[in-house]
Amino acid sequence: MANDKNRVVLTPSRIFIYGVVVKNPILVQVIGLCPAVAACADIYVASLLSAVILFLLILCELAASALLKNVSAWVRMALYFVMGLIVSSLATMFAEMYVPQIANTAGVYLPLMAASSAAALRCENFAVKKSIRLSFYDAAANGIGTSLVLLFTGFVRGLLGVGTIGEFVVFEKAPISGLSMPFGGFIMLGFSAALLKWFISTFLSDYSHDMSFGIKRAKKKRPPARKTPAPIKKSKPVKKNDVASQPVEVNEPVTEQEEPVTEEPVTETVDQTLITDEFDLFNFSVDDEIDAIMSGLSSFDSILDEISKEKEDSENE
Amino acid sequence: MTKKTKKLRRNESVFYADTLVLLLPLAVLAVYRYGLGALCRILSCMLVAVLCEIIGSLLMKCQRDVSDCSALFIGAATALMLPANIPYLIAFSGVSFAVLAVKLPLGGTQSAPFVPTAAGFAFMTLCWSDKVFGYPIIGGAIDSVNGLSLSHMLSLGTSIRPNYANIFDVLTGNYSGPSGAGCIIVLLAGSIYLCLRHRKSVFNILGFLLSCSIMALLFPRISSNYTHLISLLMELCSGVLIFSAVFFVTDPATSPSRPSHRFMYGIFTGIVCMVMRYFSSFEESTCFGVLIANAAWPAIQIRITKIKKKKQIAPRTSSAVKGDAQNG
Amino acid sequence: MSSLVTFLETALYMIFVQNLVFSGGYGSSEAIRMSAKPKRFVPFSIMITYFSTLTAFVCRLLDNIDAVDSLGLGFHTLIFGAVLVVIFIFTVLLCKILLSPNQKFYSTISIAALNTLVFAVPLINRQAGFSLIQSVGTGIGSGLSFIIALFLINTGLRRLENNTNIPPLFKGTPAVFLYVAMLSIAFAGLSGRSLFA
Repeated sequence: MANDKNRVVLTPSRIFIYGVVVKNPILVQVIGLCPAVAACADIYVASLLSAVILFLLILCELAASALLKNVSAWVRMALYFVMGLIVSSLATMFAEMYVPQIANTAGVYLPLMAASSAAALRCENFAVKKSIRLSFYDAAANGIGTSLVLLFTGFVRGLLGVGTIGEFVVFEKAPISGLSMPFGGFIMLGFSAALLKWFISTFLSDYSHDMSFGIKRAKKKRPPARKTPAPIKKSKPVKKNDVASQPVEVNEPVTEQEEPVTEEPVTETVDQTLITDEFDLFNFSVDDEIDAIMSGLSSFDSILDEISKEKEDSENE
Repeated sequence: MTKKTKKLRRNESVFYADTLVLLLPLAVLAVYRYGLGALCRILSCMLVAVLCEIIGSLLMKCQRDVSDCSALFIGAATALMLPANIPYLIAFSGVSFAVLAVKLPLGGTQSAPFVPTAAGFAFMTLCWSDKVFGYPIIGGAIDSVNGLSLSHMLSLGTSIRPNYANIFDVLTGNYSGPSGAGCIIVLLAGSIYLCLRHRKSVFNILGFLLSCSIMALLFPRISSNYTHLISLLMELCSGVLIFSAVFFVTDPATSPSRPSHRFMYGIFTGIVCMVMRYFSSFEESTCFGVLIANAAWPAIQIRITKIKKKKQIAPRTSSAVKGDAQNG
Repeated sequence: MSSLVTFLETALYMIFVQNLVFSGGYGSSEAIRMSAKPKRFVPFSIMITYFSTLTAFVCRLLDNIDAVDSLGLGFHTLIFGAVLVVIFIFTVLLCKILLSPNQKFYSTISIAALNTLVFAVPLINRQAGFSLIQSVGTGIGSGLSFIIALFLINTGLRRLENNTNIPPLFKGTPAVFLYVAMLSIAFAGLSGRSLFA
């Protein structure tokens, strides 16, 4: 089959581990950064934003999976935003009424959850292609993954950048006040992502082949083929027990009727969560181009040298 | 490790060893002016930098060579850019940030995209600006923080009186300011030494100082007798401008390789640093300008290289076509 | 003349002093993800500028109505969001009729319209009490600040990708975050503190 390499069994537990750890929305997929970077310098604000994003993800992914599969993509994006708007404005009104201090600290970042890229991208990349049950698991996993990052960031930045944990004053003067600024958020995310990478490679080595840390780009367009034949590459021997490199297939057909409560194996492709596209600015490698130019110039030089030699020879004769 | 990599590493070790030699007279002056407290801060910052490099290399599982002296340079330079009475924890935080958050994770001595010392100083400025710019009075108690620095005078639009005594004080760093980055005569002598040892550095320093001088002459922040000359003197001698010219703009990891590109890089960095000084809310913001230049210069260099190559191809192809036409 | 000066002042303030991406974190995920696609820089930034300016203009006009101005942040969120959605739908329908674009265009315009950067502009204008001209300046400045962020982050991505000395733990997203943190520090030198917290 054409896509055998990418076929992976998606079980609820696997979806959960993917969503929370292996493909964490903030640290790996780089979506929904705004609250983590700028707003989460307080544990209470982080809790409020986490709750909003979790609820929003579940609502949007369930709606996308159940109702929006046959709708145009741009209409779906508008609907995600409208759903986010309703949720965030209700959350803002609730916060202003019952927890005004937290609402004041959150500022414009609470209403901004309406435009969070996390909900839209997860819906487009997963929910519209999958069943309602799997979409729910994915939404919950990604929501929990986002919340964990927000809470961790809020805790550390609140403690070191503000000197408080919620209402409790730990330090009279903040030890590192710069951590409460956006650059402190980016620094926290950088080290958190490195910590996550270490955790996955140490404790979840089965999933380490699926780690896609980084902004992916399409392969570079190679220069025209050389005249000399390329050397024959030796293929690596396939290890017998290398489960991670072998594709897994399930021959049973996918059914959604009268399914047991236990795990449901479904053959699905690994979702490409990061958009791949051309990366090179000028659509070729600058180094290759310079090499080609220099080789061309040297050939011109040799031609000019030959012409001048011929002229000298003819003059001498 | 290839031969080229070994040669690069050797060059960098030599460069940082030479910069340590340059920092030595500045450290002596700092100790002479502010006492043993300044020496303790310099030595402790160097020790913290080395420890951070060792521990960071172990945790991040990267191979690092402490003998390239870059960690020692980061510690010493950071201490000399700060006031002599800076709390130890702040200095250590800046040094740790420079090593653990900028140098090690982003490529190390050879290829870090930003100058670690400048990033560390910028970090300290944002977190503790009152401490970083709280300079003691020269000759007064080291605990005092009432010294009026040249940078502060410039930000207020106040000028020094243009007489020989004041000008001599400015050139020898006899004003409140960073503990070791104020003595311009020593820095300029050091820059000559650096240029003799690493000849390409002269282009960076010249370009930087040229653009800073032109900006200072054209856009003075003060008004007094001999406005433009006094502005030039004060701008160049205030804060860490010349210190940055000698040590940051010449950094081998962020500096281009060709002399013409080095000169242009120096000019660009000078303009950005002066703009930052004019519009920033901090009295000394040269380091922020260095960081912006580090980030923006590679994009500019790619464009320049492309334009140059196009110009080289165009005349050669036209001369080749002319030759063909003449031959018949 | 004074209106032009006010407009330019606000726009330059939003581009350099209070760069929304680096100093406020608005649209940072879109900036990092889009910086890996240089071909889409200019059209994406034009779209962002268009949506942020038009939304800021319309929302500021609505804020001149006393009944709207007296409402709380929750209702303002609903109103401003509705304005943005209407502008988005109107623009897409117009492009559909005039340009007949492909699917990529729709995905680009959707991300360009419905992101935190565009939605933050009218909220920031309201919080700061900007006038109509200042609001338009904010809209245009936010678009230009976004394209500057795109170019700087793209340069960083290139350098980090070619950098073989980065430790394995920091290869990829961790190094990108730290690089963007340095850019944020550099831009913070102009502002000192973020005003729109």
